[in-house]
Order: sequence, then structure tokens, then C-alpha cells
Amino acid sequence: MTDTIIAFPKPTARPSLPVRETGVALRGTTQPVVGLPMGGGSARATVQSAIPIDALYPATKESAPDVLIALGLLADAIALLEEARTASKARDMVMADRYVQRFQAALPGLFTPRGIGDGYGVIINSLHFAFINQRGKPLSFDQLTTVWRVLRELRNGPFVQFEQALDYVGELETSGLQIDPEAISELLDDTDDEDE
Amino acid sequence: MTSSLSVSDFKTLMAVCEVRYENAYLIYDRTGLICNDLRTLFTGLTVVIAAPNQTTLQADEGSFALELAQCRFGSQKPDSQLETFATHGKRFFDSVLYNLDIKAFSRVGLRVFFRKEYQSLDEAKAAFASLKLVNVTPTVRFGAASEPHEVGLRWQGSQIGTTLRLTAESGTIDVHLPPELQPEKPDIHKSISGLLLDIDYYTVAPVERSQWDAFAWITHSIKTMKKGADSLFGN
Repeated sequence: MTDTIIAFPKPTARPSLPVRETGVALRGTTQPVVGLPMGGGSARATVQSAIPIDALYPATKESAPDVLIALGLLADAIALLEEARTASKARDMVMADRYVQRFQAALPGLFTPRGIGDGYGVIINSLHFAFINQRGKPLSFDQLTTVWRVLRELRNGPFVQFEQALDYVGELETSGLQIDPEAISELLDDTDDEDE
Repeated sequence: MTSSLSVSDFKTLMAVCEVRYENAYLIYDRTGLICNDLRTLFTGLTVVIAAPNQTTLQADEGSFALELAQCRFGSQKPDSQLETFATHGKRFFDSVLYNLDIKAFSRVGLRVFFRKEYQSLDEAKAAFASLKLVNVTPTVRFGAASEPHEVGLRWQGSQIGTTLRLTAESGTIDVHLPPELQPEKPDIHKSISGLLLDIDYYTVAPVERSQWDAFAWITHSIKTMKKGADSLFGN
């Protein structure tokens, strides 16, 4: 006979137990020290680092859900941008631009798993239009660094909420990238003229 | 008997997904909002118990618990790949996390119970022994039995942990119907013997909300759990 509790736990009042297994109170699970802010602002590890995304979604041969596809493509994209930054730092602008062009070519692929969230989609979409609006002009070192950093954040948190994603898009804009489609910019200009 | 057991031989009995977080005091303001959300997302939703710190709800799709520092979704009829379970879980967790403004989790866990039925308890014990998960000399210990019929194991690193419990068990179902319902066959008795596999897969390191999506994590984690258990069974 077993003493396994397979019914859904009864909501009886009980003290908060520091060690419990999922759903039912049996033998203990060590509760980690939590160092992440829980409300408002952005969530950043302060005492104990957040789990690495690759530990949360370990790669498997059996399946390739959107999140794993995105993580793989983002890792490649970040590597390209790192190479571009290194080349740019060494004043090898041709090589830097070559890596950036390869990154730009990877953007449609990055857009494919956009089903993982609106936040993910809006960042990739903004980068797509940013490169179109650059019209072949190479990115500055600061712009490269911003794009690289935003992508690293996105890879660590691909299920970023839309509102937080807009903050990242704002950072791209602040670096001097134009992230809106040209038609939208013209429409906005027209609206501004009418207001005046 | 050979140890050719695989998790795919087991029937998925029950699944529970739970997230824990620091006290979310917005629960005092927004529990009703969440219940209202859930009513539009699930069928036959009823509030079983409502207390300031703890609300339990039941729907056709499963059970929900909302507490100050944790919430969970459970189903006693989950699909084997947990895709439907994960779809329902995502709806629930998205509503709770949004309404309680939760940005990070101290622990995320998925616990799944599987059972493989056998004709008798002896047969179940033989299947258990064939896995050779316990390496002790068969002799009567504690005056109880010569061989154990349950094993519990835990693997825990700095990021992920798993507990696995395997039990050879038997039980009976006794239903006594009132005479007016079944005058010719008033009682139902059924004996069930089998192996119960209980796996709890959880995070140890904190998880940011932007890292976690219920559907993606549950459907991915069940594969990891099955693969790990199969590997333990020697497949």
C-alpha cells in the first residue's frame, strides 16, 4: 500500500513550509535564496543569479519547439555581433560590417519563432526596420553594443513582456537607430504638421 | 522478468505544475479579478474555497490553487504529452502572474504521477526488482520484508532538481451504491496493483518571469522527465 497523496491538495490553513515538493507536502526540497525583486521595475538577480536559460530549456534531439529554435538562432546572432564589436574596436570597419550584414541576413530566421511572444516579436521586428532604415550605413560601435546587449537580454528572457520589450526598443532608438517603418515615420510627420 | 520498462508503458495519472514566489500582496485586491478571468477561460468553474490568502477553484479542465506565495494547476486526467495540460496551465498562470504583478519565481515545479498496472502485487514487485534500482542483499530487514518495494531518489544541482519515487503498490476501490440505484449489484470492488512512478522536476535557481512560459516549459520538461526516467530504467 502506498501513502501517496494523489488528490489535489486540500486548502487547509497551514504555515508556510520552507521545504516542500511540487503540489503536495512530502519530503523536502531546498528552497533557494531569492534575490530577485518581485514587483515593479525590471527583474534582475541581486543575491542569487537567475537560472541560465539553457538550463531551463535544455536542448534535446527529439524536439525543437519555438523557444529552442529562437535560443539557437539568438546564440548565433550574438556571436556574430561579438565578432563585429571586436572588429570595430580594432578599427577594422570592413570586417565589422561584414559580420553585421551576416547578422542582418539572420533576422528573418529570428522572426520565424515569433510565436513565443509579442515582446520577442517587437524586438526582432524593430531590428529589422532599423537595418532597413540604415540603408547600408554601418552601425557605430555604440549601436553595435546596444543591439548586442538587447539580444543578450532577449536570449536570457525570450518570453519578455511587451511593455518591457518596448523599453529595449527605446534603447535601440536612443542609440540612434530608426526602428519604425519609413511609411509610419512619414505618417507621424504628417500628423505632427497637422498639429502645428 | 527483464528490465525493459519504459515510461511510455505507464499511464499518466496526474500532473501538477506549481510556481512559488515572494508574497504577492496584490492577492488581497485581485483574487476576484483572477476568478473572473478564469471563468471566461475554463468551463464549469466553481470556487471551492475562498480565503484571503488561499483560493481553490475547480473546473472541468482541472484544479487551481491561488495562494499568497504560490499558485498551481493540477489535472487528474492529463494527456500523456501534457500539451492540453500545458495549454490550460498557461491560461491560468498568465492570468495570475499578470494580475499579481509577479516578476520572478523562487521555484517552478512540475510533478507527474504515472502508473503501470499489473495483475498482482507480486508481479508489480517483480517488475520493480528487475529494474535493480536498489542494491541491497535480500534479507529480512526491520522485521518487515526481505526486499524493498519503494525507492526514492533525488538529483539536485544548483539550477535544476528532480525527485523520483517508484513504488510497487496495490489498492482496492470499494464502492457501495445505495440499494435504489443498483438493486442487483449494489457493490463494486476492484483491486489495482501496479508500479507508481512519481517524478518531481523543479528549478533550484530563481527564474525570471521573462524566462518562463508555462506551455513551453511544461511540454519541454515532460520530455526531459521521461528521458531521464527511461535512462534510469536502462533504456
